[in-house]
Amino acid sequence: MRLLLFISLLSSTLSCSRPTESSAPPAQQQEARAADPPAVGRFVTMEDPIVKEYIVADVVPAPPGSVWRWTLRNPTFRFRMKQVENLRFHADFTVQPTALKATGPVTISWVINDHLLAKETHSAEGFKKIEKPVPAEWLRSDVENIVSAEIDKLYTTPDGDKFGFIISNIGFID
Amino acid sequence: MGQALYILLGFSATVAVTFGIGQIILARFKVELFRQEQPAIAIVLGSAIWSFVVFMLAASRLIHKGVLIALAVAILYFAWKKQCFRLSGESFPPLPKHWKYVLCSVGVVFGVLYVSNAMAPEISPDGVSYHLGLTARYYREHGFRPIITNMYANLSQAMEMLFLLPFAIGRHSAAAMMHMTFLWLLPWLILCYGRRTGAISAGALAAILIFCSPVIGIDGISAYNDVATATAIFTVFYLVQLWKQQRQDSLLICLGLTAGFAFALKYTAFLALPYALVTIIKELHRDKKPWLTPALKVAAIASVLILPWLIKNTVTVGNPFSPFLNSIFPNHFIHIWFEKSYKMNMASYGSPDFWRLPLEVTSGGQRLGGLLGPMFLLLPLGLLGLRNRAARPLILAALLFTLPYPANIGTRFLIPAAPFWALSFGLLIEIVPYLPVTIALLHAALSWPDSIPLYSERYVWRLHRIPWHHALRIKPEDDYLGRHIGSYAISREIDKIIPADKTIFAFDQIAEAYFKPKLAVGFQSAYGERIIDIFHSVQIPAYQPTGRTTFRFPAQQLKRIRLTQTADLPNEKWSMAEFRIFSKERELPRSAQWRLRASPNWWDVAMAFDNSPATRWSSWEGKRPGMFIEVDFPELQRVDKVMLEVSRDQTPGLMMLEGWDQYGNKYQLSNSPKESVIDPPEGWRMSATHAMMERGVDYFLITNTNHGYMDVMKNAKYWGMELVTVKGYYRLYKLTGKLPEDAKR
Repeated sequence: MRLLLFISLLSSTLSCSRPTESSAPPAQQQEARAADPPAVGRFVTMEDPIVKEYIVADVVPAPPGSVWRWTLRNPTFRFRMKQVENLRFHADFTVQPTALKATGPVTISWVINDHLLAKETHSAEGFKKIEKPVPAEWLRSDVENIVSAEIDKLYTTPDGDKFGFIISNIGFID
Repeated sequence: MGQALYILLGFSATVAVTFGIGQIILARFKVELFRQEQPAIAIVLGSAIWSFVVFMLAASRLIHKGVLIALAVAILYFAWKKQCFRLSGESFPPLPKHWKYVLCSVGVVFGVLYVSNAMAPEISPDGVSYHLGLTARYYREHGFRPIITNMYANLSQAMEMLFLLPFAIGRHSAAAMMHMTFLWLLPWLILCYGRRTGAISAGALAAILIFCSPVIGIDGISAYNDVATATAIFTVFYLVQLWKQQRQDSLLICLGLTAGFAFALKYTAFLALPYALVTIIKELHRDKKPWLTPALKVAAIASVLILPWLIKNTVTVGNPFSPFLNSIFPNHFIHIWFEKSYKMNMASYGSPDFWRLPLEVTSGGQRLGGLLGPMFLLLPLGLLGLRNRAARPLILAALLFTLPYPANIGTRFLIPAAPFWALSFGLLIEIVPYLPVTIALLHAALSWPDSIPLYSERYVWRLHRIPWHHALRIKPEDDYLGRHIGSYAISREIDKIIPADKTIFAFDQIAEAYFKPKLAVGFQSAYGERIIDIFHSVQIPAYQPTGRTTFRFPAQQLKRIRLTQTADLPNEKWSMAEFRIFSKERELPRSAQWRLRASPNWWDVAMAFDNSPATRWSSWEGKRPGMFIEVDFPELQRVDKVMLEVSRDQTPGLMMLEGWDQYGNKYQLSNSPKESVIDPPEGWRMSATHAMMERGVDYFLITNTNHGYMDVMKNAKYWGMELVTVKGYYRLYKLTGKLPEDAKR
């Protein structure tokens, strides 16, 4: 009982009866010094409201805000960037299970301004990522850079539609 | 193989030390026990005292491998000199043969499964994040240093204290094995209880139900504390029953130690002490004997083990019961808002269908983190034994220790009450010949890893196989850890490349036990939540201070100005990015002589006066009338306008502005502000990074499931971040706060 009394006394001593304390204004932050990224740049996610600006060919339209899109055989995108050094190409995509069952292993080639960056065969379904450094000489800061992927086999749905793979985002990162 | 020997050495040394201490206590106080009971109760008592000793070493920053080993050797030597390793007392009558065979075979088969998994590299989610993360940190820092970035550091941590010696010798797996000790002790004590009370079948069945239960198994072999807590609670019950029979005074000392130890292991075991006290008082009162002194003795001894944790929290975070009761003990380290949502989450796990709970905890297991086994569905039948005198204390204890469960409905939070339910059920059915043994064997068969997928959900937390090669370190640790822990690769990379004194911010727990730099996980502290708030102020439009709330009023000479909340909206926080005061359309420059006050959360009030769009003061509580922010000027100021820069995730208006003159006369200035909206400012990302850096964040870890992942990946340079490494979907950035030339405006 005394222990309980002690604990309750300790509690009441430490609890909210303490007065509100005060502080002084801190050092003032300077005005924001940085820029925001340009609207059309070097990377795009499929839910980006201006994703259409990046798509050149072979990406199936989807409702605005969709986080992924089906590709056809040769999905192609354009990108702009101010600096071309030390960039890595990055894309998140999915090899769809039903499609993979129908086609068997698929090979996807990734091409940047006509340079083959990678050619990978996927025999397992699921989320995939490609991330590789890009030689600066492959890229241009003054004009659009064209990135395309090519899948060797297309999946044909029961309705006769043909699809490649599912893309979520693509572009260049530091 | 060398590492395997260190693991075994660390584990066995700690068990030997706890056994030695316990035996010294039992001998010193002449506690009369059966020979079979002695080692189990000795280890529990010894663990209580050893955890306290290690706490004191940690508080004195004396945690060094040499100190721990020297102390352990001294204790072992003393116990050996006093011949305390010898078991004394009578033996129980022998077990019936069929139970002997069943218990031995189940013990051997599941024992192999458990020992191999405990010895294998530690992979449990909470073990590799905070249980061993904190243990490793205490070891590195030679004891306690204030940790304000991890609420788990504020929980009672007797188990972490028990981990320190095995960790010092055999690292993570040795610590996990220390917890496994209790996985053996608990069923052993249950069996002893059955034997002592003449309910052998009930005891044997209950022991097997507990020992083989999938969630108890995986929890017990992990660096957790649930099975140890259940063991301490059961020991309290055991000693209470012994005391009721024997009325030995020395048992009160053991009871106090064990009840205190239970709380020191886990807050949820807080009922162990009142249970012991109420039973003692009730018994003595009924016998018309003095009850105050015995009860005080138990409480005083228990408090020796309980109070250090409360005092540590009071000193470190200003709340003895942190991370709970923050509304009674308001502090800067855990937000009341967080506590409320944490409790709601723990009480629901996002699963509102409570009628499915019995199936979920016994045979589903995926959503609530493990399953007890389908046989546990039968256990509530034990309630039918209420008329049985022997079953009554068990049923009472079962109900009592189930009481905290609704606060956290994870399956493992049923473990403390499970032994009582199992014994009550055993008592009910033991009169039916062969039924207990049949149920025991069926439960064991259903609990074996190969059987579980036949009835459970797919991704249930459970053991899968016997990993001998990894247990003996014939195969490399990295291989096993990399396959089982998603964040292991990034954790190892962090350990290799980031200096130990740097702080990494992450949104989720990662394998903190495998690296040295400090980790601040977003949800684990008020500090982390402030960082999340800063980061999300860029990412989430509703968090951006694009709202303007303007109060205009006839010019006044004021000494003090106060903005008071008038709304009562418990599900909405009150926040503001800036509080600007004007005279003749010019903002008053903020002076270091101003005194800023706020209620609640005065600690963060400066965030509304720092001119940064990325930071905001927040009440971190639901809005209620009377909350305020106040500015006290050193001298009279002419004021005619106050403008708030606010985010739009809150109901506008509903505030009142008041002022005081130099004589203390109060004036209501305005309660009808005008609302407007502006575009978000530019260059915000960099402001957020600066705000994070000012708060001590050096590195930023993000993964694809975190909000803002894409933006950071895409625009790292606009954030002032430099990519350090990528492992899977984890991306680690260094905060530089510098903008490259090509990104400048």
